[in-house]
Amino acid sequence: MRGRVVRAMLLILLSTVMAMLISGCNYKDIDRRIFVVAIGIDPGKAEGTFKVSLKLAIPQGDVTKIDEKMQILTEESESISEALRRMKSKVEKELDYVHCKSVVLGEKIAAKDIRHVVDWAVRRRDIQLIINFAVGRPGALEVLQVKPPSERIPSNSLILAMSGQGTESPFISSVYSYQLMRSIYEKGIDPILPIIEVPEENQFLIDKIALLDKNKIKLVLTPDETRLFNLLSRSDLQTNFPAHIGNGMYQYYTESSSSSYRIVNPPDGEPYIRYTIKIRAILEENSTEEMITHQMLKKINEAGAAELREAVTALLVKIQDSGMDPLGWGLRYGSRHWNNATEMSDWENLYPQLKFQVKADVDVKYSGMIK
Amino acid sequence: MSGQEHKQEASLNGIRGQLSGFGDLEDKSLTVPAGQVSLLYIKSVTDGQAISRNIIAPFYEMGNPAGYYSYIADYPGSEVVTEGPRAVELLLSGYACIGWQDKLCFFDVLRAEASSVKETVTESISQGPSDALGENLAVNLNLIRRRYQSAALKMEFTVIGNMSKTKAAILYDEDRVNPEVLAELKEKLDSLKLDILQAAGELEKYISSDKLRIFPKTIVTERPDRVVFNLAEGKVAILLDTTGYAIVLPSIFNDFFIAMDDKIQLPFVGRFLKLLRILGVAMTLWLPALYIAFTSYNPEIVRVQIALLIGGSRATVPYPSFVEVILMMIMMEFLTEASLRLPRAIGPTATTVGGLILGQAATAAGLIGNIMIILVSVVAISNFLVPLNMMSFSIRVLKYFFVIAAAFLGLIGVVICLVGFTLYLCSQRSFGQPYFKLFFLDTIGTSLKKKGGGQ
Repeated sequence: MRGRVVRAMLLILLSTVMAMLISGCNYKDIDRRIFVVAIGIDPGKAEGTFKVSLKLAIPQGDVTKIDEKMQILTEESESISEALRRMKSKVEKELDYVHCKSVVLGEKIAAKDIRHVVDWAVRRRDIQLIINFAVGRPGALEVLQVKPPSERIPSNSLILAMSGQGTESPFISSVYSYQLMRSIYEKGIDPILPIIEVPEENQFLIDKIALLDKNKIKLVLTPDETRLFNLLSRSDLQTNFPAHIGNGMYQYYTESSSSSYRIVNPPDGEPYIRYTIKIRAILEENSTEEMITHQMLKKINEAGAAELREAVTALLVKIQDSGMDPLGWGLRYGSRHWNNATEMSDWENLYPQLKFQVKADVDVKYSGMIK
Repeated sequence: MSGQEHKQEASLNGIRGQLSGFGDLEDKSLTVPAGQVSLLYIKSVTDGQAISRNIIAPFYEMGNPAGYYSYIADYPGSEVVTEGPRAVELLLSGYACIGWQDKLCFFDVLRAEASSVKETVTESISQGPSDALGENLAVNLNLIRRRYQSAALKMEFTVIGNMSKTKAAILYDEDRVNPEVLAELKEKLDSLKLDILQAAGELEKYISSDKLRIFPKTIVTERPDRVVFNLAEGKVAILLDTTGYAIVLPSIFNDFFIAMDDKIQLPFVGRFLKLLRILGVAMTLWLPALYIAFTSYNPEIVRVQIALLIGGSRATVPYPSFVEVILMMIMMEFLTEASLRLPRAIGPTATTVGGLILGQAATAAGLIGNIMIILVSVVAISNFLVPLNMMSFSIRVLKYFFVIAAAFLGLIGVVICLVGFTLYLCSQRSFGQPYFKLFFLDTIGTSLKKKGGGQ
């Protein structure tokens, strides 16, 4: 009995000593860390350098008071890692990137080459792969400096808006770093980035998408095009679309939406992509005094579908003319063909000749609350 | 066997055979020159005074067994019985049996210990019986016999302690008990060399083979209905004189999370309550450890909002997080212990002063973070969701292991600790039964049958 007790004691002692030796991650209390919530990267003054800005969240002592405190650090260097190391000397606490949720690229960087920055963000182990990327206009630092009055936690508004956890704006698409990395290096799909603008002080605006030719911005979509792009790229986009009948204007709210496409390459005839868009909607606005009857709803359906068809076709043609493939048609084409050696070059040849057929199916179910 | 029993005629020897092993069966012959009668009764459910006044005294006064028998048989409430099973039934429910020649008559001398039975203190439930075991062994046996009227319930008496000479009764259901468990228990009790035995918990300590153990292997309860519930599952109960608690063994981990009102509640409510209890244990075990892990090692796991909140509330705290946690948890233990010892009248005052004012002042002074106070209260409250005190105390101690592991290794430490304790629990045996098995009885079907549920 005694022997067992001694053995158990020894075991506990031994495991405690071993536990002390291997101490996993660094022990550092949360109040000795300072959280970086957003990183902004602009080109530096000298050619080939980066101006790295960090937005730091400073915890509030008194939580009952709404008092947002933040700090922005800036450092220029030819290497991002070097800039971050240098910035460690500017604060008294350890910089912690685990809660960093967004990287904003200055427009000038995005216009030149984003691969260096994306590679760094994906490679660094303590920055998560679900970080949101965006382009800042005019520069990343200006975007980081925005401090909306509704914000309680530094950069929270930026995080919420970019990730889609907060606002469900139809103009915002969120791009994670793993997605960006994938679409840069994958054949048959081109990266996109949302653009964050600072139209006035302490307010930002995200309603445009930049289409990148693998590593630099080539085309910027207008807000309307951005919304249509989002309609094509994701399901259940919550937005409104117009339908005009005569002089009357009707707006319908999309309760659910879905889009699918097929790349058709008939042996005799022209290749085309057939898009099918299905929308179930509720009437939201009516500029006329007319009674909304079942027949009227049918007319709205038709008018709305026609307008949508026209707008989507125009967008698709615009994208095709730019030569980019943000929706991943090439990837789809490759995945459905077996000739691995030649399929992508086949696609390169096929793509410029593609025609688009858009089938819009708008179904306004309900006239709203008024009889 | 049972069919045969059914037809069996009532006879004294038949009753004696069925009730063999009843330590509290009294079997006497009353003799006068004119003849003799036999008197049989179970001491724990009958009233000794009533027997001497109504049964024994008249016999010697009359001195005539035939006349005495007709006096007994004509007495209101008496019953002449010819069937064996009915005879045993009556004996168990508090009748005395008077046998003359080959006739048997049963005389009502039931003792109901109503007035001297106290209400439960440590295992209160909202609905259901509130009788608690008292400090008198005879009363306790009465409470249990009344709830378990079966000839299979055997009682054996023994005396433990050289000086204290504590009377102990071993109760078990002959048909359901595991003979190996019973043999092991008796062997252990025989080999006990004690001077003083005063509490059930003490005995629990002596009969467990393991000296270094964290989890209780036997239930110590004050509820007669819990004892009966466990007897029906085939367990053995030990009742001690001079203590208000019974020991039930072998007990598995899951037994400690059964409250006696689970059966009373609707099925879904009962399940929910049980889930709540398990959640409470998880909370009280892990929350302090996770707090350390999240604040000092892995702040990336919680949301940024919470990370900043914790960071803010800890801004003024001068010590590392594990010192803060241990300090506050020890303070809470002081409070719990103090409120137990304090006289009842000032108990609430102490808790108010301690809990409210201390917590408030500690945060205001910046010694402890706000979040920590919430955490400590959750830990303190959820600890007491465990229905049985022994287990709740074990868990109270156990959480410090998690805290230490978290202080050294962060989240990995918590996981290692959890895996370690799971392995430890799996390796444990309670009187030969696997400690960590989910149900004491093998199938739900048999458990329903044995507890008299299910149609």
